[in-house]
Amino acid sequence: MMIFNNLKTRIALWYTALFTLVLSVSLLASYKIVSYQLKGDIISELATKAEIINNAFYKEKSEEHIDEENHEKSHGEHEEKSRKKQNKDFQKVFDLEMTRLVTEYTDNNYLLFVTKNGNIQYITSRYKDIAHNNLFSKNIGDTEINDNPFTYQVLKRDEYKVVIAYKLSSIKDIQKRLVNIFYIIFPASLILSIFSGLFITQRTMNVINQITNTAKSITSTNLSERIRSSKGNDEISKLIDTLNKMINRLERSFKQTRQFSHDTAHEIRTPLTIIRGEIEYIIENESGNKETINKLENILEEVHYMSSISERLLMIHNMDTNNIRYHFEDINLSELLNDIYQDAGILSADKDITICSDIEPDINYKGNKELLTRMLWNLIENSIKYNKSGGSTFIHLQKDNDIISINIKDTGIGIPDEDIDRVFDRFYRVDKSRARKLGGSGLGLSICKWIVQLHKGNITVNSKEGFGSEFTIKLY
Amino acid sequence: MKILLIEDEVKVSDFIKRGLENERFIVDVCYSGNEGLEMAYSPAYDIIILDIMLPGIDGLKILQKLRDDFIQKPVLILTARDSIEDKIQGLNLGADDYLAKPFSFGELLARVRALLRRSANQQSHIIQVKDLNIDLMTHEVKRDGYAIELTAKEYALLEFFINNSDRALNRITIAEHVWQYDFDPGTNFIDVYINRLRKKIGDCNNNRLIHTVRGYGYIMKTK
Repeated sequence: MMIFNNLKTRIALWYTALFTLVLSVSLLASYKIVSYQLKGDIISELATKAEIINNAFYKEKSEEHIDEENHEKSHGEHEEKSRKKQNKDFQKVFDLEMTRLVTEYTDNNYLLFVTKNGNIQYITSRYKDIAHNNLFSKNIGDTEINDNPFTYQVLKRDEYKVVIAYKLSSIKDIQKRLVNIFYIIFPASLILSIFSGLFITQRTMNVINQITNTAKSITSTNLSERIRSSKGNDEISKLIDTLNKMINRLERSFKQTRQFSHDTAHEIRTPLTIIRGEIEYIIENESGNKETINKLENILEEVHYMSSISERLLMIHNMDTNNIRYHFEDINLSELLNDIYQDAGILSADKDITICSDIEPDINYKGNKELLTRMLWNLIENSIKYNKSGGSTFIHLQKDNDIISINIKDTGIGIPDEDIDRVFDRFYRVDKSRARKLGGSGLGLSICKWIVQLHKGNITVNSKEGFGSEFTIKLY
Repeated sequence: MKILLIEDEVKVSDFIKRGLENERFIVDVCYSGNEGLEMAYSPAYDIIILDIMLPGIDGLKILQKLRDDFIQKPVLILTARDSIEDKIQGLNLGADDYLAKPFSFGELLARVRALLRRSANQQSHIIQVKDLNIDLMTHEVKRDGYAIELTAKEYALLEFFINNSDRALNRITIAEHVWQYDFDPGTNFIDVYINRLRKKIGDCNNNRLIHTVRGYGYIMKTK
């Protein structure tokens, strides 16, 4: 999964996940709190209603009580009558009150009923057929009537039992509405959080990417470059500072190494001159032992090889310090390449390699003749050196829309895939044991690349191990 | 011919001196800049071989003083400094040629001879070796009166042989002079070119100029 390897995506995902968790918890909590509070409100409301009814009872009962006292004091039919009458009065008032209440509660979600000795006397008309006494077993609680949830309170007085209940479906409605709101809020904030997460990480990543890009572009040739530091003293600027310090140290040690190789190459030139001069002198003037002279000639070849290495090292120093202005002149590139092709013909005939050329005549180019010759020779010589017996080399030069392209292709041993990116690196040799035998120092191609770059061109390589290589140079 | 060699490196000056003396030049050696400057004013010398890095006055300053005093004798700069700026500066100051170390003695000799010839007689730029005529200005080559067409490389090769006549030249020295690029000294590069040159100048057995030195290189014999 490529996408999860991306730090930006990962941070955004973490951010979203955490945000989702927090959001879920807070939505759930608000749902619970709202539900709980709503129910609490209803229960206290019921309690108030119950209190009102209780008060009605109390009034009646205290009247009854007075009546009874009166009844004890007075005797006879009259008393009996008045008591009956009073009872009747109470009944009347009670009936009236209950009817009023029952009517009052008919229109909303209340259920009110009164039983006397277990028989329902008054009931909110809506629930006449469905409410049963035995649904309300506790003094306070929840029940279900016809699939509708109710909360109720029961009041008992003598033979009377008053039940007042409230339909909870209004709470359910509110809960449902809450859930509906959550359904909108949740995905909306989720999307918002993903985007804001991406935005925030993007901003951070931009800074990091900038650092990465600069660090990537810094190679051995531009170690003097630094990562642009941001203002402030935050973690990012500390990171930049650390990286810059590291580049500093690298640059210093690089400079030392470079200076060392330059000094060494420089220092060995005088002894090499002397060795060479002395050997040449001996060979020319002593008509001594043939074997000795043969050996001296071998030494001379090695001295020559050493000289060419020291010369390349000095050239590389020039490449790095870039302090030399090379003389650019108009060159007939076709003639130059033809010349090299002629020389290469001698070399290839020796190794049984066919060399072909397709050189467009009279292509002129402004460049440094010495360097271009050196570069082209190096590539063509390689195509012969690393060729197979019976193989071939093709040299191609053409100009198309002001772009000069030089193509050198061989049917040689090729370059393994794992080495192809490094062939232009200094001191890099594909086959170490073989290269030395063929006189390679691992500097040739890096010098070629530098020469092409000095001419603001580019060089590319295409190769398949065992089938051959193809170098293409574009000059503009 | 008298040569002044100003070179502080004893071993280098030693083999140059020996080599030049072998070619019947008279060589005086100075090991420091100050001494060299004094000696350079002597009219006895036909050419000065000058190292740039010297103790005391450096080679470029010596050259500048000489040219400021209108002493126009040929100066060949010799240096281990591989800086093109040095070369350009030296040539601007009036040096006649430039040779970077490590060099081969053959190369040095060829340049010394060319410089001497140039200064000795500006008019006479035609050299004759047996029946071979070479015009150093127009690069025209004639043998026995017949003009010979040579490529640039073949001409360079021939001129190098003439400047080193009667000296055996090894393949590496020849290659370095004629070609600007390195190649494996084991290849038969030089031989192919020599054979072409021989064919063109009509070098055959009974009248041979360029002789093979077996296992080493070639020699142009003028006697």
